[in-house]
Amino acid sequence: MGQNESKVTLRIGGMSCASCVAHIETALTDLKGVSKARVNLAAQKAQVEFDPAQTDLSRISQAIQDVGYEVAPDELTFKVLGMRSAHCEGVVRQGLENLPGVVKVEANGNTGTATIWYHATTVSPGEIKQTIRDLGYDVAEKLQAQDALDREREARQREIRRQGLWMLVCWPLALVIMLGTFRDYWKLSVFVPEFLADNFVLFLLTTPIVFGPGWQFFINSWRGLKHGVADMNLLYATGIGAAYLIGVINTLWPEAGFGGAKAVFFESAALLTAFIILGKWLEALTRGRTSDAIRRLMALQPKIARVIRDGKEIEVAADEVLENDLVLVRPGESIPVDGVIMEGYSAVDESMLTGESMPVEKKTGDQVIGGTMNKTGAFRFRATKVGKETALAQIIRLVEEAQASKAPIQKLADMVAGHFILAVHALALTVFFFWFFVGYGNFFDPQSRFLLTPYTLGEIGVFGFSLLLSITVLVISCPCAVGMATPSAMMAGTGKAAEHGVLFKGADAIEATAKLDAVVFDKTGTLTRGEPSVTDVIPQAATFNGPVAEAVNEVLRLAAIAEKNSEHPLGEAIVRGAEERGVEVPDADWFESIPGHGVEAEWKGQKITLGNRKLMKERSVPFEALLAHAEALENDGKTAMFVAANGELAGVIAVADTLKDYSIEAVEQLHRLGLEVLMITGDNRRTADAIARRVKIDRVLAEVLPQDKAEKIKTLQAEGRRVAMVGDGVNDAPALAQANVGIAIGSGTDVAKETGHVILIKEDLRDVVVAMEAAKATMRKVKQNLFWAFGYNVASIPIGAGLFYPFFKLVVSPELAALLMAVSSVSVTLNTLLLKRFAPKVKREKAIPEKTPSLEPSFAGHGIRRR
Amino acid sequence: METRTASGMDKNTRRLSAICYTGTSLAVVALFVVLAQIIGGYPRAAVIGGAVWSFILSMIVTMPLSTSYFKKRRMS
Repeated sequence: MGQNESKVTLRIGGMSCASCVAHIETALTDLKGVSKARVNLAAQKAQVEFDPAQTDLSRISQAIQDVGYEVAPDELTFKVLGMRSAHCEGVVRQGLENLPGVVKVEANGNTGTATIWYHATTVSPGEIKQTIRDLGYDVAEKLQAQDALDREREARQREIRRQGLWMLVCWPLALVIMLGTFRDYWKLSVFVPEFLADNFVLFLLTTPIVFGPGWQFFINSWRGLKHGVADMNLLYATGIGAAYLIGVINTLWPEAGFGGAKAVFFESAALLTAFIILGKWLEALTRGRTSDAIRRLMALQPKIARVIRDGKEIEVAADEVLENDLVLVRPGESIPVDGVIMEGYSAVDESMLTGESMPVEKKTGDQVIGGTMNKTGAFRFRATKVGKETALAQIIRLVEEAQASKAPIQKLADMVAGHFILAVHALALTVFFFWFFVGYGNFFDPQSRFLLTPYTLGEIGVFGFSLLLSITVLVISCPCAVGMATPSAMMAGTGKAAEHGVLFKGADAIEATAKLDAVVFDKTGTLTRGEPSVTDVIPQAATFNGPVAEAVNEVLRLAAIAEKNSEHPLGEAIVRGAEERGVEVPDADWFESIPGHGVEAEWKGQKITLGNRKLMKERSVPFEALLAHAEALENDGKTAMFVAANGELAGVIAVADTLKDYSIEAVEQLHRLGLEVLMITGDNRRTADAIARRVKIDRVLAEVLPQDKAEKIKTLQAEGRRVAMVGDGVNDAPALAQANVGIAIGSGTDVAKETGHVILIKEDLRDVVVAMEAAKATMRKVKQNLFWAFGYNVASIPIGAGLFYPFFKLVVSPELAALLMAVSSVSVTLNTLLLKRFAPKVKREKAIPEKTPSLEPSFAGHGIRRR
Repeated sequence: METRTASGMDKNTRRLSAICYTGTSLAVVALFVVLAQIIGGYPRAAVIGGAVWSFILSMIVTMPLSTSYFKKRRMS
């Protein structure tokens, strides 16, 4: 996206197929100033990147409406205090309409209310309220807030109710029509009254179906045709319309020459409508379920917050909390916005955002995330991020954008489905020509039947027969399933991954992640904690006579006393290590830092020396007894320091960067998935190899300067590898951007600022594995869906066109074609819903508290290192 | 001054487009009727019905293609 470009996500109404996607995309990209437009059928959304200097939201909305679709903005109604006259109405209306993202404002001075239609991705309710206040009015309360989620659900339920109602109308009538049509077969004449087989009765029964439930297809296709758009409705309308029209002609004018009274096709028109409506009803029923995850995330947004303003505790809408507000949270309440705890202590359930099963302990100074649930204690926190900046809002935006984006694999499906309708009509014309001029004369047999019915084609005539096959091709070819195959799986996959704390920035990220064959981990801060800690303490046996633990603590205490006032990271690690072991660390009487060598201090007449070999030599401390241990530690990539008291060797302390929890498990799991695991670091080869051995890294890229990391990734890609880079989203940004998939880890609350295609909310390396598994599961589902959808069309079109008629004398009736079409769409959606069962193989039961002791169980005593 | 519609097409372009898709559809109908005459033996009603059906399908195929072609040409 260019620097001056804006991006907006719009909800679109009225899309029914992949050809609609192509039409809207074309209309938008034709618009001057629009650089990119991506439309997602399953999400019913369009993502548009545009130059605000050349176009605006109203023109974009108009372009969508021009091709026959609706733009569905969010809606809010406020009570505006002080707005009483027509002048005030005008002020509020104009003031709000100038706000980017506001589509329309209806202000009513009599009722003192204002209804605002706006795009939530551009402007927030909080900004709207603030604008009203800036105009000199007050917003007393939110009378009605219909957010996008409610509107989408309502619209879907309305569609389910509407199609359900039409089913109640058309199915009983269609069944009666079918019984009447087939009265002469089997023993039906015993049960079915004779008058039902009369063509006029069938005509009277079919007419309400065509002009009731079926009328929507004619209206929609006419609306599309007016704008030069052919969509799925046109297929239905031509199919139903042609069958009905032939029925009417052959009923009213049986001698007209269109097959006569025996070829009325009323049951085709009726059952065709019934099956299409059944398919639409099932689709509406199942479609919403693929977006359950985003719905759950949106439902987390708290409605109210208790803040302290002017010393008073007041309740405000969560979207009105301001930065730096002091917010109160009681046990069992949701945390309204992001912030830092100022007072209090509690356990917070963050599972809804991070997938972490254990509640996380929170105390003063810790961060809390809006939308998470406070469990045990009460606390006050200072709001640091509010409105659109909160982690939850950013996560929702990212997931929505990912769901609205398009995977490369989808482009083929969209291209096929987008041009399919025209191709199908062209095919229907070809089929008609073939059967009219060639097929009927050569192959027609009056005894031939419709597939799965006893109904013979009898006196159908050349026109009726050719028309029938032509209609069947139209109905059977509907590419609904092809259009739904990829976006529905992507929606379910991105949502499911988000539930586990893995955010894919786009559908292309999922596709690329599923194809990876190598994963490169940054070392410091990713595989390791990035801060040194004491790993080994080896006391000199000759100096201490007591138990090992006491000797270890004594060596640690001596070293910590010497380093207590040091600001060197190694010194800080030693003091921290001593404190974590419960060792008391008094202040030294004096201390002196010897740069490049170590430190010397005096405490209660005892002279403590801590440092390297050179320092020991200079102070004539005999250190040879522990030299072998020191070298072994250094070979493991650790920094070894000798400790001496009054010129006598006390022991060796090793400090090193320690591995993060689950680093080893994550690498093991990646190996299980068949990926090569690499580590990239600026450290020297020896230190890097030592870490790599412990984590079982396959290949080490050591001594790489930060600015050269991206170059190394490029080299790997030149070898033909598809590489993921896992690292810190800020420091490793160039390498993350260069990799096929950049995975930014541990972003916490600032997800939107991260570079990278995949963002892991937690600092848990196992989420890299979760990302891989989620991506593979999603792509598996996409491929299955595409296989079934394309397979259906490839197999059904030749059958519908009568390719096998010369051999078997069987024809697929239009109503059977409609049933097959409905089944294919529903089967794709149902297959996608199986993704709901996705659970990462990495188990989280062993989750441990956030803070783990950095000391490893490798302390030794009496000169013997134990592990 | 040209009059532009909401969909970004002026009257002339629309007229050109309509002439193009209607003309093509009528050509398909003509082809159908000519073929029916050459082969012979078809009932008149079948030929009329076939001509109407061919016209409908041809219009559906050519109308969006022609509209979009002229729209693009106009914009470039």
